[in-house]
Amino acid sequence: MTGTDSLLMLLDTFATKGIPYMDVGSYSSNFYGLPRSTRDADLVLHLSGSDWSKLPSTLPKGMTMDEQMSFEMVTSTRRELIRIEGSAFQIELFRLSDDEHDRSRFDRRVQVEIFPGRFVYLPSAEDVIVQKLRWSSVAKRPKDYADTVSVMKIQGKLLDWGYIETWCRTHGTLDLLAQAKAEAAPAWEEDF
Amino acid sequence: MQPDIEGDARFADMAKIRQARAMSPAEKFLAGAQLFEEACQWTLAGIAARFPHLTETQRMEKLVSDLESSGRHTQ
Repeated sequence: MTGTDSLLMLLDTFATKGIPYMDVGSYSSNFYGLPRSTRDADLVLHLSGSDWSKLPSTLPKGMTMDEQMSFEMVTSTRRELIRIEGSAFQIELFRLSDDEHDRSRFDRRVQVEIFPGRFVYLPSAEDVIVQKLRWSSVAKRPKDYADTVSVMKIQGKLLDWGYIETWCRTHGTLDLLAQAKAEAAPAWEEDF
Repeated sequence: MQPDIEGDARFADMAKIRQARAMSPAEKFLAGAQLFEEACQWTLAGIAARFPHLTETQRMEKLVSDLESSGRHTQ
């Protein structure tokens, strides 16, 4: 089973069970920006504690949840890892946290038709930028900054910059935003 | 950067941007995992060449182990 097959199977399961989710991380930045290789899919789920404990039994065949859960470093939300039989690809599940931006981006998530009749939930392009800049600032991972610039290059003039600036002010990432925007701006010279 | 190198770099960058803007939603959604799976096939071939005694399952285990040791992945 390929990583994509397993991800789509899992998303189908969530749709059937009525589990609200959004596909964040590199899947979302790839969707809005310049695609790059990714080893994992990151999904944020809105589930109660008791529903969360039932999750392992609902996983499609060939997927197993790691026994040891951990915490994501920016918002300290719970993180679970799903391994795929016969594949190095993996899926990470994050519980929707009480963090104000985490809640806001979940409420604003968009339904995107990736194949005819097949939909997935993604954060908005603006929320991908806000989150990636936050990660870049806290976790200091170069790929988060590169993903931000990539989304800006592709989406540029279509973005709601006021919304992005409001959250970046809250997160203390306005300097990073300005830097990324300056890097991406030459790509907007061509009409699209 | 030399002016000609700068121009070439900008040209290559714009070509990538035009290509990304022309991709369908399905292509954009699937690209990351497809690129990863392609890279895995090359890496598995390298592991097989270096460790011919390993079974297919063991080669995959080695790949996963090498990926784990190269860094944690988070959103």
